[in-house]
Amino acid sequence: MIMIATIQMDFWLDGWIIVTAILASVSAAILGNFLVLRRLSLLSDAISHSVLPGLAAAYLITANRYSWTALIGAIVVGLITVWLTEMIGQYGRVDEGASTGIVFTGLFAVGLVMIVQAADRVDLDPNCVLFGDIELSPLDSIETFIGLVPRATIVLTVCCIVNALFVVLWFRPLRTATFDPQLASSLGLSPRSLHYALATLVAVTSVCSFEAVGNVLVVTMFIVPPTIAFLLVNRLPAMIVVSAIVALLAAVLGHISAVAVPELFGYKSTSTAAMISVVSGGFLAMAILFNLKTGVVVQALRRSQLAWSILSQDLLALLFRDSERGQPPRAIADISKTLLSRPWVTAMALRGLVWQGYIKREESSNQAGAPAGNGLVRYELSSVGRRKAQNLIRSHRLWEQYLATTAGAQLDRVHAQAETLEHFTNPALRQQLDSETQQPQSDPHGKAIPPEDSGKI
Amino acid sequence: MIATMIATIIFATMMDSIATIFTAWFGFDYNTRVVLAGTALLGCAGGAIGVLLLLRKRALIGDAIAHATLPGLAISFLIATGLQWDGKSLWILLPGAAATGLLGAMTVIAIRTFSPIKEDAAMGIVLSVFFGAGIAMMRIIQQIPEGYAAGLEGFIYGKTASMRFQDAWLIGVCGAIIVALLVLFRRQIELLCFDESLARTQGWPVTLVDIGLMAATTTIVIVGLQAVGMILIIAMLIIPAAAARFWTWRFWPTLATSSVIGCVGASIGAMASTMAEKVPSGAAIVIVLVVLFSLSAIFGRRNGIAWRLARRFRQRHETDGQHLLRSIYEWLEFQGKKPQDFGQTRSASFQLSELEFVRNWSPSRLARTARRFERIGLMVQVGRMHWALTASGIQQCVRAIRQHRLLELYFAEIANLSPEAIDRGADYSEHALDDQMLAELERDIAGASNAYEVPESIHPIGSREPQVAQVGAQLGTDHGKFPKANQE
Amino acid sequence: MFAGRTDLAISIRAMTVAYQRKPVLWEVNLDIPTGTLVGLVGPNGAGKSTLLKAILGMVPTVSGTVALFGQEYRKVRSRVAYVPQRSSVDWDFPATVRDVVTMGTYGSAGWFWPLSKRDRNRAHEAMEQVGILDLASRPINQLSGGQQQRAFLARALAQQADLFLMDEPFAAVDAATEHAIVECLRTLQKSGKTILVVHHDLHTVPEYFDYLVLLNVRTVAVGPMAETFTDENLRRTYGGRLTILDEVSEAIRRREATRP
Repeated sequence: MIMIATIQMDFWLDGWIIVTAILASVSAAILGNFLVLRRLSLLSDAISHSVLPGLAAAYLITANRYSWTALIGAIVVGLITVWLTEMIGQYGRVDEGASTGIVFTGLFAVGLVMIVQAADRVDLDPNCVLFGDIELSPLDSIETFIGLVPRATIVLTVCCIVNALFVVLWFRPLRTATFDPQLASSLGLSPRSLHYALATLVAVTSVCSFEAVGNVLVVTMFIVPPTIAFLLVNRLPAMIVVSAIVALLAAVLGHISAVAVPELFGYKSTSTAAMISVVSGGFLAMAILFNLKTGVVVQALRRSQLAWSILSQDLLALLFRDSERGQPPRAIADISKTLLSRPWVTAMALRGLVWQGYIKREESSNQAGAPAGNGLVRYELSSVGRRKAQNLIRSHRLWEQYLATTAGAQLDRVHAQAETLEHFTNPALRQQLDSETQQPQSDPHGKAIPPEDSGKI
Repeated sequence: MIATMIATIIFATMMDSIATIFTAWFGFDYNTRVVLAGTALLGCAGGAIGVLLLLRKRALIGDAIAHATLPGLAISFLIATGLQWDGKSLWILLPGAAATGLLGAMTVIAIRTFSPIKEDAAMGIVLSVFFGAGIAMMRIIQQIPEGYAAGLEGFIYGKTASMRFQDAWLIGVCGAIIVALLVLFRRQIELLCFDESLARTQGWPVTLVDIGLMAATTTIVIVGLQAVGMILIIAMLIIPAAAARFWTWRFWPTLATSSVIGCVGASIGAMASTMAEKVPSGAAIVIVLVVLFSLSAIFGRRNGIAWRLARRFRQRHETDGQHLLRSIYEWLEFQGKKPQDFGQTRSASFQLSELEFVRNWSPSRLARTARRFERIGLMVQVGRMHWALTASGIQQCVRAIRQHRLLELYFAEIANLSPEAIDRGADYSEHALDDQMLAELERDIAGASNAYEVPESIHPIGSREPQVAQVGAQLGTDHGKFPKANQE
Repeated sequence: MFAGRTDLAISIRAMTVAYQRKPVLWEVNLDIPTGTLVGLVGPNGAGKSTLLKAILGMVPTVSGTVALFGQEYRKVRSRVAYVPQRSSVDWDFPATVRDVVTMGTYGSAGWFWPLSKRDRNRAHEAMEQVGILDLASRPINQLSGGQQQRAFLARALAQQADLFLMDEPFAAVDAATEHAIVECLRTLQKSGKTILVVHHDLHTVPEYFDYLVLLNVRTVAVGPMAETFTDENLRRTYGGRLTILDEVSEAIRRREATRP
């Protein structure tokens, strides 16, 4: 259905691939939320590796990719992995990461040997295990009431539904046990059982997905979409939903890019599972940079916006003070030096203020002493600008008064402190300061505190 | 008895395997021997670096680095092939692998620094995404004519068979350099591992060493790619180090033990893989390492399960012995025939069945302990059913009872516990008292001026159930309620 | 077991808890009458947190018995609320204050059915009582230390328990929050609840609590504040007269680690 000019996608073939990829990704992402929140991300890595011997054994016994034996083997191995990790961690006095590493590498090695040994007897390619062959899944289809459906799709649909049901029905125990295991056990739950249940489902999902996306790449889906959701939203139900959506998008986009991107370089399509990983990595990078809470770019923008606004306010205050003292207009270089900013930044800020209507720019005619050919530029506060500046100065001097008298700060320090505080003072706060210091008329340095100018006529 | 049998069996098996290994070694050709030597040295270095990683709690960073090397391999290959160079040469592949491996490590740190994502998630992200990128590129490589037979997949599972002589040489050199660096900078490394804050305040560049550790780990990872494969290289970093902790806890012995275990495991595994068919070398090495780990977990001198059990048995024997001695004393004391520590060569006789304290012991336990005492010369049988303590027996006995009673006094007067608690406390503590502590105890209690004097017992002797009212009166407490603070 | 001394909220006999053969709690005996506001005080490493956990069965005990309201903990679980240390939880968790407080109602609301209006009201009232109702929809990663502590307290209140066990609720909390929490606890006490609080600041102990437990591995003294908060008792709690016991335990531990 999707036709991009140079590539061809077969609706039936690619459609099922996309559906299967979506199901695999979403199943993993749903469970992954609880792994990531409990700092167990690498457990998914461990379990997806250690199911290998179980799978190999099942395969050797039944010569069938999807069988109940494989499922049971997966569950057993998943439980063994968690149990062994705990045992080794406890008795070996090694930390959890190390004991996880010991267990899963050992089990994976055993599985690998089994597979390689039986490679000619059994059609199980180690590469397939690692990164799956979702592209071939439609070839193994069975007849259902809606036509030919790949077996992998059916299995993954069931898996997805089971995971979703688990997460929805056990939502409260999972959330409580994840957030505060001590509270959970004091309320009568067994966090340990939930841990084992989660591990079991992780193992089952790994097994169901291994043909579609392979062992290592299902790990991406357990970790990356939940992490993206964690960066974007603040509540757990939303996080689960967002992770599912992200997984879905990654699956779709992953397959499309797997087909489209190599074409750009003149190659045939590459592994869908691999591209799903890469695409989700790309999503994560964007989330890290741009998310509204902690995004790197967003925070940088906010900081520069704040700096800009402070500089603008300082400019207004400077002009106000100059007019108070009756000083002649300054050159931009002079202004920049006073405000400790760079000339071009100052110039831009001035232009911004002009555009906003806070100051007026006047080119005066040549005056004696001015460089030839240059008109001296004067900046003057407009009425709106004057009002704003006046309130800013009022904030500053009220703060100075408050700090010096009520807060007991040293006199030579109050100016610097007020310099910072003035930018964050709204009329209500000014009111408070005013009443706290009993409506002062002047600041500690003797300068008059201007009255509040609220703009009302 | 059983222990001896088991030990013999294990020893024989070990000898047998060693013999097999030796004969196999000389059956190999020169190339294979070099490859095996290289792998052994790799195991050595891996074990050593692994200890440092374990101490810095960074065990799984090696996993992330290992998986991150795949795109580097692919890119190097593609570029090299594009430039008509030999894409399969290690000199081209490994730098690329190292570059992306280090990039992966730095990405983990970057993720942690610039976002609230936790470390384990960061490692998982780098691991899977980089690996995915690598796989995507591998599939494309497979479409290139040179790429199909590249055997780049050997890097994923490990294939010592495809290792060339120069490659083994490279591995050996890298391994040797790392070990040399460790020896050279041993003081700094030791300080940083144990007291990071001290090191920082003294101006040591902690971050630099962390980076150095990452670099060393990356080196091990990339040179080990051929031998073990990227999925299992993490095992070479973790398993020997974890196994070594069952043998010792001191820093340099741990490093040495870990290196040895890594070396042995790698050698045996590589050899097994060469000799057997269709056994990937990575898997073989890991399996051998896991076996070595299990053996260490059971037989390791420091914490092994076997030793822990043995310790527990021995303690129980000791405790039993102490209890027997004490009850002998108390029984004799009750009869007015206290054993005296000076001059007496034989105590008064007693029957085992008369001893109160050990009344609830099983007959076999009693007989065993008694016979043990006889064996070591503390008791002799003086009649059909009667025993007596020897001179050394008396000495031990008096010591035991004095310790116990001093502790009882201590707990009663100073620690303010209930009578049963005093019993339990004294039981618990007396086995660990040494002479110095005993002297302190006497000083504290200030009343036992004579080193040979045995204090009166708090409990009425002759009966183990403390007479409640009597004891209560002595201590000024009421049985059933906890002692009040200001009544002393 | 103590067949139903229901006037004692907590009754412990001869409890010993050891970690790797080193005693953390030694032959602890104490009785806490219902309706008291109890301060649990002692030096660092005295086992105060462990005592709370041992009461709740979270750590294994070597010996000893615990009775809550005259019964085993398991039988009266719904009447006990535990407020752990703030640091025991990861505050980056995606949840609002209301979510956290509502967790306290799960004990009675059940784990699977939708929350009834009554449960929602309980959470609402609890938040009101501690003064964080205006923060109900705020994500918990934006809370200050004092607000976090109050959220934990609200969660405990929502459990509508009769016995509250609180582990260092005043640690690293601003003075205003501290006073607010103390007021809240006093109100609870007036309505007949029993509250046991692990506290670290000796100066405020006589002011906040009316019953005192002095703990240093073993109970040094237990009783009403006036009688128990004496110089002599404090000296014995914080002084070093228990050195022999420490040394012996240390020796035992060392022996275990080195000798075969």
